[in-house]
Amino acid sequence: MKILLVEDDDSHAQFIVDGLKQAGHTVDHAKDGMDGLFLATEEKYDVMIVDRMVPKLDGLAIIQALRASGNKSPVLILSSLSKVDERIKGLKAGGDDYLTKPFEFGELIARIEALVRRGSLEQSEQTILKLDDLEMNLLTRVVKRGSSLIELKNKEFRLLEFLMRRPDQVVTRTMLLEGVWDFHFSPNTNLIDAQMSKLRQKVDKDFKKQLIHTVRGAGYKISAQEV
Amino acid sequence: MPGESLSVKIKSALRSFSFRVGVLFFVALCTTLIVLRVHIYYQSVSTAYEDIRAIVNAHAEEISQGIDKYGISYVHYLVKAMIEDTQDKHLYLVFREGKHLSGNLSPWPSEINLKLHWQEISIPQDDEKPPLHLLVKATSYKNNGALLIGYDLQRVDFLRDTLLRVAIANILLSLLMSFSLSILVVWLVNRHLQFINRACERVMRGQLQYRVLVRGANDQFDKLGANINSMLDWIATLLGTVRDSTNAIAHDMRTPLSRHRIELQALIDDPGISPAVREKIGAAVMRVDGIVEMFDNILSIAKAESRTGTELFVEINMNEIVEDVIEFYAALLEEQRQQLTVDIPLTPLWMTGDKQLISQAVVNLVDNAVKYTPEGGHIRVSLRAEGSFIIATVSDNGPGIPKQFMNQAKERFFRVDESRNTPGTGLGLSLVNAVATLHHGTLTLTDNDPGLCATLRLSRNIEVG
Repeated sequence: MKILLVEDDDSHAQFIVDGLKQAGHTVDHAKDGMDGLFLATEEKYDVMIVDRMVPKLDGLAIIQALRASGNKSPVLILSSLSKVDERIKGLKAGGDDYLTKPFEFGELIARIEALVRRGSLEQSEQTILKLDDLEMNLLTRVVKRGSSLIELKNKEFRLLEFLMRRPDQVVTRTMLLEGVWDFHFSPNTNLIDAQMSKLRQKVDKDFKKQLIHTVRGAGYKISAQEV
Repeated sequence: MPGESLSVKIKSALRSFSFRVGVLFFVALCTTLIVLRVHIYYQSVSTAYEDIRAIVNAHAEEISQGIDKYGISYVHYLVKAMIEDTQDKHLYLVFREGKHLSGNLSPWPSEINLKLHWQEISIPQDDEKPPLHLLVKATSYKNNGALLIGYDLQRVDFLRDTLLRVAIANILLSLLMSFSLSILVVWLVNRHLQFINRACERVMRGQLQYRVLVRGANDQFDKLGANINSMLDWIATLLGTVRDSTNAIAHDMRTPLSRHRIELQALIDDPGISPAVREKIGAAVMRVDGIVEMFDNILSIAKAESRTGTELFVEINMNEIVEDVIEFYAALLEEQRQQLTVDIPLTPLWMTGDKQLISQAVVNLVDNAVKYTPEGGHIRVSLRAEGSFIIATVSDNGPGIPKQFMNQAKERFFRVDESRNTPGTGLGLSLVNAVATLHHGTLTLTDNDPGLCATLRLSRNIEVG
């Protein structure tokens, strides 16, 4: 993927650039808002990571200018401002996702990938989600693995749906907190692990093939392939 | 305010300053008017009496001079002459000498007391006429001689009646006017104060941009309003400065921490390091997260306490929030074999509020209960409506908080000494308390004997915007 990073802190930017390159992406780095906007209009990027507070031109102003000019590339806002209202401001300005510093690198990667794939996945109005022999009917709320029925509680169902809508994609604990519980603060994230272990018991325990996988340092992934 | 009974409204109106000013104004105006009217009345009546006395005295003087010159019997002639001469029909003259009576009043009025100088008498008349009301001056002479000079008081009585009627009408009218005026004053003062009160209430509720309406009349109310507005502008500027600097601090702190964390994370992923070192680095990463969490909590508390955070208020279903939080903790509760009793009404309880902050408050309360209740302990979560409030209660049978620390427990960074070993920032309950304040409610901690009972009270209908 071709990624643009707009970030004024040099060494912080360097870590992000290195990390993204290691993950196999191409990265352009702009140190201020003007350079960022220039690069964003000149080149075509798969995803842009924009710091909320950069010199010369504010992060939100860059996004607004890009959206006004018809640029639809997904934008991840990187910010020191954690408050929910700041997040809402960022999304209103045309950002697609919002990540607060400091973050796990795995979180950043997972969110970028989710942004790029989002277009095709979330817009589909599928009523039946399928992965290997696991099948989820969103209308009747029936979940089956092979021929056996799996009974899920309300939030377990939402959790599995969230994973099934993002097959083969890393989903972080924070993404689950936000997407399934709508908690935009950080409660004890171990609780997500407790929830996941219950879900796994129901979905994977009695079957030979494991579908839900733990991705170390990042989160979880649902996949028919072994990780 | 809605919900107040009429008697409470009346009582508060009676206590109000403007009402007292109105009453004072009313009483002062009435007293002045009454004193003025009474004065005019007495002045006019006594002047009329003076005039009559002067007429009577003038005749008495003339007769007295006649007696001096011509002797007492001359008075019969003089009286007759005077009656014939005078055009004043109100003048009555009678002279008595022995049984001989001359004058225009007959018979001699029996109620005359010759020892009194001036007296008022009333003589009944025939032909259904009203009785004759006279002011009389009587003088006695030797040999049963007596002179009576009287003057009809009809004119004075008429004046007195008219004055009294006018005075009463006047006083009634004045009472009505002063009453209406004082009501007008009360209303005007109240109206002006209401602008100021309304602005103050809105600002206290967190609508910091709200200002007092200044009408441009340049009176004291306008000056007060303008002063309050400048004060609010100043407070807004100060808050803005604080907000900008906290944002700047957040930015300057988070970026290096983020760098630090990425570096540490990169070390953990390095295959060359030993498991023991890896564990230590992992602990360092957790400490970084702890600092950030503490920082976030302090910002949330400050924002909630300043009551400026109503811009995110939406309609929320409290049942859903509490149920979500309980479900979130269900797996952990099961793991720790803690019993949970949930008492939530079937009908959803809706309120206006900040969903994230309320969720976080409920999470904090449940988290505390789960953390401090021993394995096999019992936790109870309940939700109910009480008037215009929603009450969420989380109680446990854990060690609780010693009575002497109960009040301190809501302060920032407070932790009961024994629990220092348990992870936490000591900000959990103070955040809950700040969230309660933001929603015009309270957080009450009581002894559950044993354990702690936390009661979160939130106002359902907070005006936003």
